Amino acid sequence: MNQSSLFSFFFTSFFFLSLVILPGCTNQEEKEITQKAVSEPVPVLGGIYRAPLRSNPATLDPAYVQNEYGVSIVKQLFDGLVRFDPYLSVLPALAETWQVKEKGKVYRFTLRKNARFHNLEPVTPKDVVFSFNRLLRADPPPAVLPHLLKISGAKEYRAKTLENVPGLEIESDTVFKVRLEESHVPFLTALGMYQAAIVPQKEVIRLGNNFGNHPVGTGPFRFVSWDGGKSVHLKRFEDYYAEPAFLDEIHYKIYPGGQDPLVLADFQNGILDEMAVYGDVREKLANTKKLQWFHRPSLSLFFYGMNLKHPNLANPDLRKALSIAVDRTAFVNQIYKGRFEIARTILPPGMPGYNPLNRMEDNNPDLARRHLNRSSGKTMKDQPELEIVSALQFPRVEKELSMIKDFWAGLGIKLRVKYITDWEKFEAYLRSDSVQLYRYAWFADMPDPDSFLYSLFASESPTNFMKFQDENVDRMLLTARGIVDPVERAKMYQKIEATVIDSAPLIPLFYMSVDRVYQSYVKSVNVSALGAHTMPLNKIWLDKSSRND
Amino acid sequence: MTDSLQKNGLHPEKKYRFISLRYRFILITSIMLMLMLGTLALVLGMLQTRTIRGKIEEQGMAIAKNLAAISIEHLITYNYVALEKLVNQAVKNPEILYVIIHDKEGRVAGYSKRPDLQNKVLSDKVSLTAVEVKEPLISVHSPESGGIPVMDVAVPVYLPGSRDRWGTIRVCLSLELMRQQIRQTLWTILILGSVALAIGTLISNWAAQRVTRPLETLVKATIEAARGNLKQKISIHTRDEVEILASNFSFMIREILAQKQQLENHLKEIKRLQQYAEKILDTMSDGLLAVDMNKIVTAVNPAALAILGIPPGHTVKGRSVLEFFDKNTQFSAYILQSLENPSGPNQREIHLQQGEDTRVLLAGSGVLESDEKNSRQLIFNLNDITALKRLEAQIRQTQRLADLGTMAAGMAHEIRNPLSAIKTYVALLPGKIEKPDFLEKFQRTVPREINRLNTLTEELLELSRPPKYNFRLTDIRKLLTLSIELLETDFKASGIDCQWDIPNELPKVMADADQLEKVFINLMQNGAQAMPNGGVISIHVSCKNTWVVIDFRDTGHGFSAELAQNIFNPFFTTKAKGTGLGLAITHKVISEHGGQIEAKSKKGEGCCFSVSLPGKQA
Repeated sequence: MNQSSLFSFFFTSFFFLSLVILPGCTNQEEKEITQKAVSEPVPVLGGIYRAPLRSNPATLDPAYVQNEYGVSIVKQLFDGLVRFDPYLSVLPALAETWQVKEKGKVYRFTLRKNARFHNLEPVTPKDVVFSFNRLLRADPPPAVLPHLLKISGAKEYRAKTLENVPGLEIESDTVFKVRLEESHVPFLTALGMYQAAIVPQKEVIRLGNNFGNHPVGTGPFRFVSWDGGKSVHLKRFEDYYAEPAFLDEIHYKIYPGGQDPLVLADFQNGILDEMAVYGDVREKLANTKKLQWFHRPSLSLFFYGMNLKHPNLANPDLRKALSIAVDRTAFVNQIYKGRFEIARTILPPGMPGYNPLNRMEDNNPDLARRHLNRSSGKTMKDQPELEIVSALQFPRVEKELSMIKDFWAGLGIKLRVKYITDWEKFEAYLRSDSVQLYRYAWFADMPDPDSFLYSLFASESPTNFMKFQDENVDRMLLTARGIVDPVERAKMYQKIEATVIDSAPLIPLFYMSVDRVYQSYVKSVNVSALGAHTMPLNKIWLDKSSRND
Repeated sequence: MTDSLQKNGLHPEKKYRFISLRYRFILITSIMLMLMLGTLALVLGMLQTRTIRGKIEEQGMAIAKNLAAISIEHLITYNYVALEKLVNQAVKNPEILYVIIHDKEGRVAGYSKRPDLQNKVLSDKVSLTAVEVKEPLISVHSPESGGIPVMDVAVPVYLPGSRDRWGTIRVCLSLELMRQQIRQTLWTILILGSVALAIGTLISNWAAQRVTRPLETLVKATIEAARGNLKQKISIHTRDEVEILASNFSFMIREILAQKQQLENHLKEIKRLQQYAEKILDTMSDGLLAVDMNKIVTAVNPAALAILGIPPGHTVKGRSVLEFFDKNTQFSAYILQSLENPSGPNQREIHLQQGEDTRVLLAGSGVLESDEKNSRQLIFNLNDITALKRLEAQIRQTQRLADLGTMAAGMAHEIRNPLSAIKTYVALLPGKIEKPDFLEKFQRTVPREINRLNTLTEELLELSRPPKYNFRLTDIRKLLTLSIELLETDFKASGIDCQWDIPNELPKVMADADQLEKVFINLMQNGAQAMPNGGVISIHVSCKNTWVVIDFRDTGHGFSAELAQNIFNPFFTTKAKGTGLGLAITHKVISEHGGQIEAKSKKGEGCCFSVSLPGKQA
């Protein structure tokens, strides 16, 4: 063995020893660097974000916005004193800080000094008080009203027996106090609801009823134009008190009455940057690469509500029979391709107070028949024809209702479908006495069971389209609001839910999920369980390099 | 390689891989260093793994227990949103890969960065195990997608003071940090080890050189010695074993030199002897043929070729001996027999037919022994005795004629004497028939002479008659004793003392007892007749090899050496009486028994007849 072969042997041995003791050092490090580079892109300013609206909003005045279409715009234009993070925790917004005093009865807020309305006027405690007072007298009553009524003198103010609200006290240019009649746990959370947005006193008074068409808020985007039924344009508010939005503009394109195929076509043609995923959108977009799919359960419920005051639906046994006869599994699988979790409770999983034991019976035609027989002595032939009203009219909805018809036909119950695609008219019909069954989805305004159970079932709730009235439930709902211990509170809501379910004012069908698809270049999407419409778009940015691909 | 081996003084046939001592030393040192480093790396790696893993376990357990404590309320209230926040906050720790909170029903209440999995039931094995745990459980598993193993810590969530499980917290920690730290340690060991190895190699090289340099000098000396330079001087003064080795080597090569000189002298002597032997072989008249055990001719000399009738220049060596001779010839049979039984009787007369001539060979063989049986050789010595045989026949012919003349003369003498007496009496008969003395003499003499003639004729017949023997195994002792007993009386009367020495154990002899008895009696009577004044007859029997030797010795007048040559010839006698055929008949009988008879005597000192008979072992 000569010298070179000896050394080659020696170094080969050493090399193999290294291989044994140092497996895959370099590869792993390279991989990590690559991953970091991908996962932490630097946001860039600019671009126009184009989103669809599946209905023309009635107004952009947060105090009067009732549907998700309006909410999605209002969330960009207005800020409240507090806001929700993606986990629905309460974070400071216009209020820089606050103190809770007197065992939750007094809230002392300090406003941000740099907070300005889109007209560049500073936000003052006066505007806050004005906004609250305005809400207290708003009609139809906004969802936040029950919480605001907890403010001392608020009820009297609403009843117009007082001309101001003594519970709202201005201490200085930036500080004010809110005094409640009693401790009300969801109060602070309620201030994060979109209705509780702070509006500029001057502008509201100046514009009067027209404020809803020319909204001025404090949000990251300011209103530019609204071409009724066609589009709404927003622009970045450069003087936003917090970090300005990345997007230059937001263009909402309105598709009245749904027009799903059109939305899909526009999305495919790159005219839209996002769209909701429904029907067979996923299959149709399956071949389009680089799309960002987003799915998460939301705090929502899709259900058929029943007008308890309507003679056809007054009998709880009949209502139970209708609910029990529905095969929810088949319903979700066949109509919605199994995309949603079937619902047998009112509160969705994840909402405090959810109790899997409160479940309603499902797909039991025999039990349904027994309930039906007990409901009235009527023969099947004598059963009145029921009516269901839907705000959406397209093939999937028709297929859905046809399936429901089949379920109930088994009970000898006939169903008539009524379509009112104009949302305002639809909601007006819901408020009328003539509504029987209605197709509806409820999204929690905040991660609190109160936003579900109070909104839907409290006698006073403006969205109690079922006209559910139960003193016990009303009392329990009010009691629950005062319970500080979350566990105790949850138990109370479980009890309320059980009581409500017992009288079957609605047919829960499935818990909705947030299913959306975004173009590849749309970055920083973070949808909360409250739904995509509640997501502020100020964190969204467009990756132009990705767009050019 | 062979060249290098030869260059280095190793035997080329042995395929050893040459690695010099110095490199071996460096190699062993390096391997030991590497082994030590490897062991160190392994041990440190294991210790570090255990420590870091323990820390990660503690960390994971602490995080999981902390999460369990703060999530209990949210689990009870099914506040998935709050739980989702918790998991997403927890997962900000870069060592945590994911955090999952399962609710009481086993569904996902919170899954970090995976809102889409909320509310789902996970069906993977780890999840199924985790949601069932009653006590905190730590498991290490590889992700299904492969990659670095991860540690999954599952902690069940119980209400304080209750055994109602409200959910499970799962914290999955990356073992990457552990790997990184271990890798860092190993890199450190590797770098330090490389330096240590390099330094170690240099030191071992230096140390090895110190040891091996004198050895290299010695090796060079051995190579020189192997090349034949035995007169070199080796001077190594290391004051250690190498110096002793060098000194011994010097002594050895001096010895070798002396031996070599001696060997050269021996070689010269051997060469001279070889040439001498070759010359002898070439010039000797006897043929010499060497054959190995495979019947292959290994050597042949010109005389052998001539004797065997093989033309000169014919290749014989290396070929089978049977190629040159018919198998059925005596010569072939002799060679085969000798090869089969090399130690058997080895001298034989062989008749070899060559054309019309028949050659007579006296062949003998000897074994050239070797360590291996198969490489033994048989050397055949071939003596052409054809001429000798011819001469022998001529001599025999001449002798026969001379013998016949002697016999005829003897016979004429023997016959003439009685005939003369008879003729004289017959001629006197007519004139003296009346005389009673004459008649008495006539009657006494003529029949006596006629009897004599008759006896002569019978003895002649006896001598010339083809033998008719009745061979049987005969006890010589018994036969001799009988013969002695027969003559004992006569011996006493003649004043002869008969002494005998016959061993009890004697081989028996295939013999005609009657004929042999006559021989013994004849020899004893001859002895007695040689001692008219008495004397001693001694009979001594001995065994030589398989031969029974009987010596009949008398103390008579003896006879000369010339007489001894003719004593067995017919009609040769020293006695006044007798036909001169007794000893001739005795010789014939003994010869026909396969034996030999010999007469030894000196004038005046008695004589000895020695009879040798082939014995048969019982």
